[in-house]
Amino acid sequence: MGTVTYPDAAVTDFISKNFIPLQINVQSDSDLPGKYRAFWTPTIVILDSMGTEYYRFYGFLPPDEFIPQLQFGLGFMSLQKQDYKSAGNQLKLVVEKYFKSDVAPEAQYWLGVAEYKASRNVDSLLNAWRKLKKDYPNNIWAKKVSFVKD
Amino acid sequence: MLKYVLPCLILLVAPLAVTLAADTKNTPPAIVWEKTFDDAVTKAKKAGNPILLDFFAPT
Repeated sequence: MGTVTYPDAAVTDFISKNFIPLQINVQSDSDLPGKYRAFWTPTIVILDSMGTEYYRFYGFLPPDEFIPQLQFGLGFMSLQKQDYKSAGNQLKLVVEKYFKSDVAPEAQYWLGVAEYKASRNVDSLLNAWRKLKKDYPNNIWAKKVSFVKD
Repeated sequence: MLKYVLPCLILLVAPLAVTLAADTKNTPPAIVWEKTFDDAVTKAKKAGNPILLDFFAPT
């Protein structure tokens, strides 16, 4: 990460604009690896400003997958905080701007949930999930909505 | 002697200096990582931004 992903200009820009970055050496005497159960590196965790965890992923990712993961993490955090409008906007960014990224199908799944939660309109949920089935037919997130009729 | 050496030195050093200046100009600013949880939380609260926590092992 330190030699490929973090020096990338787009990654640096994204992190600087959206996060307070905190880096912890798991071999140091910090209590954070234990507190956040970091058993492998790299472990990337998104926390709110109180230190509550909302999203994590493991392992190296190149910039073109790392940025979509972070964008997804922001949307997923908003969803869990029940800020459905913000969640919808963040997740829509993933499916529109990073359509080919590996996290896009999951983002499309949760985008449907965010839109449904915001509107209570079940059609918005079903339409988002139909799009998921159509755009990513072989993905596991499409299988999770395979019961939805076309 | 100096009269001949100085122009040669300038010819050698000037392109290098221009290259170094261009490299510096094109280098994106590095990520400024916080080193302690407390500092990160303080800044996150002030900025209203979440924290990106990266656990790493030195190679």
